Amino acid sequence: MSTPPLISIVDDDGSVRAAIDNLLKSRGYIVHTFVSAEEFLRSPHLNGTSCVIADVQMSIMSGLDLLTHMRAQGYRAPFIFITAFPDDRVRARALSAGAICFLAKPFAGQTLIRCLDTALDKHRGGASA
Amino acid sequence: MTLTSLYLHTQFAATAFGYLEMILVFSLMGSFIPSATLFILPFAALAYFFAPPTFNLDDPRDLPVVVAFLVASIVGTHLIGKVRREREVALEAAARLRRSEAELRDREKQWREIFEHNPVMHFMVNPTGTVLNVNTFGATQLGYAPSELVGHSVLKVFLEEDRPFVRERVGLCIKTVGQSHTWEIQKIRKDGSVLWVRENAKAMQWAEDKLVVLIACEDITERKRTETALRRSEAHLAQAQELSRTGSFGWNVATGEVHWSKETFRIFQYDPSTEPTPQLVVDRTHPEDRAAVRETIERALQNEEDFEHEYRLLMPDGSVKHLHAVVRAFRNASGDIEFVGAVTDITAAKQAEQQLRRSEAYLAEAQHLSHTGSWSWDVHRLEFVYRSAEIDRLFGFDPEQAVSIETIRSRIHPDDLPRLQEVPRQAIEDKGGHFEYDFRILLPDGAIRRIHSVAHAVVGSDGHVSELIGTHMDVTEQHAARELLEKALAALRESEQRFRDYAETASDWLWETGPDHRVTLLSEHTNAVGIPATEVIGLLRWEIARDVEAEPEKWRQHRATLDARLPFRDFIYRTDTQMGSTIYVRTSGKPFFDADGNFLGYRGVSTDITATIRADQAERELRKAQAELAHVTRVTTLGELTTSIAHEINQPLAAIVTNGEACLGWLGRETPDLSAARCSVEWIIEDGIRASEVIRRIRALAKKGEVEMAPVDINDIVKEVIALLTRELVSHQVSLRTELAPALPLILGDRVQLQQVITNLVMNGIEAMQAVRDRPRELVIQSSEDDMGRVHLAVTDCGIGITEDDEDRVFNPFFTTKSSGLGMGLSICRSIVEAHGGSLSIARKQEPGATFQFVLPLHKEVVS
Repeated sequence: MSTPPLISIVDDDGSVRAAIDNLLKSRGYIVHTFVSAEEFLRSPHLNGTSCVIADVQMSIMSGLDLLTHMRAQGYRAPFIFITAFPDDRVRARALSAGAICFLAKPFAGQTLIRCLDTALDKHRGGASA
Repeated sequence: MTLTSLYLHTQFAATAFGYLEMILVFSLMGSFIPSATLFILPFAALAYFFAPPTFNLDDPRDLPVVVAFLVASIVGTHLIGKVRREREVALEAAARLRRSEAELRDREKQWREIFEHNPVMHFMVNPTGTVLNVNTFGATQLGYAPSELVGHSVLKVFLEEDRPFVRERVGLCIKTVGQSHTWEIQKIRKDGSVLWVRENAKAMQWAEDKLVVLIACEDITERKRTETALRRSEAHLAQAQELSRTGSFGWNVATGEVHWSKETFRIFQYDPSTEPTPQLVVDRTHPEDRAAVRETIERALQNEEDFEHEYRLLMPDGSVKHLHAVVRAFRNASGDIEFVGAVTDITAAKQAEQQLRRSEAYLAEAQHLSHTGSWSWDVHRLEFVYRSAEIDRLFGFDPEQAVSIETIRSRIHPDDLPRLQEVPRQAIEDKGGHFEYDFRILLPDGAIRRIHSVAHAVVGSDGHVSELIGTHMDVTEQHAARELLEKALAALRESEQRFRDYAETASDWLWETGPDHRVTLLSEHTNAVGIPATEVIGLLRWEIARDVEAEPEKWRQHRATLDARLPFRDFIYRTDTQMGSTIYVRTSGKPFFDADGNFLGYRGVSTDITATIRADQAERELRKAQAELAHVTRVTTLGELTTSIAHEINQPLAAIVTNGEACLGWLGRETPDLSAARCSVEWIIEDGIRASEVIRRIRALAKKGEVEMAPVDINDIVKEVIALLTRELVSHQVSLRTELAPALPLILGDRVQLQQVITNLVMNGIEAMQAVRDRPRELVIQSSEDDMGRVHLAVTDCGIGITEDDEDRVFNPFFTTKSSGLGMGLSICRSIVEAHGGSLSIARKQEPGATFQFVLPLHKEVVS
């Protein structure tokens, strides 16, 4: 097996961030967490990230802005959005922007894993393609 | 006869008969012979010389006549002569008898005189004691007339107690007739005075065998008096010696004979049976005085002179006596030197002298300490007879110098001088009196002493006032103290009046209750509210009130306060006026006690607060409505916040679920990672708590309940509001800046309502910045303490601000610029802030943005 996929989590809510980090680690993923989009963008892991799990509502730069910014920069890592404001318009925007999943908090862990698997598959496929 | 016979030529016989008768008549005049001769001779001569014989004796018939004539004349004259002789003898005897009678009478008179005026009292009494006779002297001596005593009992003139003795003596005399008895006894005069008599008495047989007792009394009063006086003077002397503790003694130096009086023995404490010697004196003398005594006596012996000395005795019991001896030397009849003297025990005097000296010192000290001087003033010579040292000090006199009346006057305040001079004048006029007066002494240095003087007049034997004796007491300090006290009292009175005014203006009436809590006093103001004092006096408060049954707990507590004698404040009860309308009374009272701490009752004030109560009730209704409205507004706000709230709750829920799954993941590994699982569970718990905290805050805001005023820190409330609104701020891209002053004083307020106010202001701020695109949306919350010590809170946004038109309406109910909401926010906020005693206002209203602020007063307890 090649190098395990690297997952980056961006959420300004510490609890949620830590919980997702915990869940993914329990499943054997390598995870990095970031309190804001800006922090992630400055991070050396930006490039090696296989999937980004990001909160939608964050001050300064929102999750969608991050996605737009990364795509514009040429980063192809798949995005999974999580939000405590499940808004249909935002959901639509997110999905149209290329997000793999749009999960409303609280979400089932299995759902996230499934989304993640989907995303990784897609990313792997995308990478291999 | 012859001529007649011749003329008539009578017969011889007839003539002879005539002659016989003549002869008999003449013989009656004396002896017969001379009478017959005297008769016959002239007859014969006549017959012979001048007439012829007429008769013839020759006639025989005449012879018998002659014979008969002769015989008859002889017998007749003889008989007559005898009778005459006998008569003469008888006459002589009678004369002699008469003579002797007169003589007897003279003698008797003489004796009676002697008896009556003999300077001895004579009494003659019968065996029953009745006075038969008494001489004038005797009666006079007793002050009676003899007639007043004769016929009365002799006991009358004796003292009652002597009467049995007198009876016994008289009885003795009667028993021993003829024997004399003597005794001494007192007799009482008619005027009651007493005289001593020596009585000599004996009984004797009187005529007809009657017994009488003769008593001669000699006045011995003088002797008795002398005797008594002598005895008394002897007794006095002994007593005087004893009392004066003076013994006398005599010493014949030549014979060595020594005589001591009884007191001398007593003074020296020797037994009176001891033979006194000069050595005994030396033995008793105090060892320290012995040499001096010996020397004094020796010198006296040598110089044979009088001497006088004082010395001490050391008594067997160790006590010391002081003696003073005065001794005279003289030469007696035998030419020997003899000393006679008196020795006086002056111990008491010595002690008294010491005592006196001490007393004088004490007195002087006391006078000095009490600033009291004593004096005596001669009202005629106008000078001090005596003045104590303190007087000199008070007047500033030189104790060594006499003070003139001018000096004294110069030291007395001119205003007081007339009054002072009036005192002796009054005393002289009234011939006595007691005076009390005040005056001022003017000292040379200008200082003034206030003197209170008490004096009384001394009246001399002539009935006129000679001196005034008195004291001057320096009362300057007392006067000053009194002035101070009076000032204080005046201030107190003024203060009392002031407080009364306060109380009367601050309340409707004043009241007082006794120890039994019954009304004893009510100021007249009660009439104005329709409670006549007369109706209420004597009643208990709970008899006046009409809400005792309705509010038993309130009254129980009130009575407990009264029983504990604690003050109470703003106790409110309901009662009815005389007109039957209900009024509310607010009363405050304080217990009062006497100087010993005994509870006397309560005093207090009452106010008719019916109007206030009514207003309060209205206000309570209003508040209730406001609270309800506030609640509605809060709930509406919560509705507006739903999204934020959902976010706030969903975040921890998401964390919980995720951590749960993670936990399962850790456990489900080939080798379960228990520590990671544990960590997951701990996070779950933390997030659960976080979620419940959010719910608590929301519930608190949504709570509909009573307003609970409690001391709160405004910064805490701000933080809670921020916690609730963080997401709202984030979602509206508003950054929040807080400038909270540390350690703000607490305010009294309802936490939820204040949260509501701040939430409202923050929400309005967020709202106002919605349209802002050209600048960061920043909201600033500032807390501080203002100049007046109030807590100040301001919420500033940088939004669109408020238009002039809206400014006046912004606080109106139902005013809103928003599409949603009731438009009640600011109106409710203002009500809430004002209900907290504060004010809500707009501090800045023009772009960029507006500032809403409120100030709240401090919590009272913190202030005071």
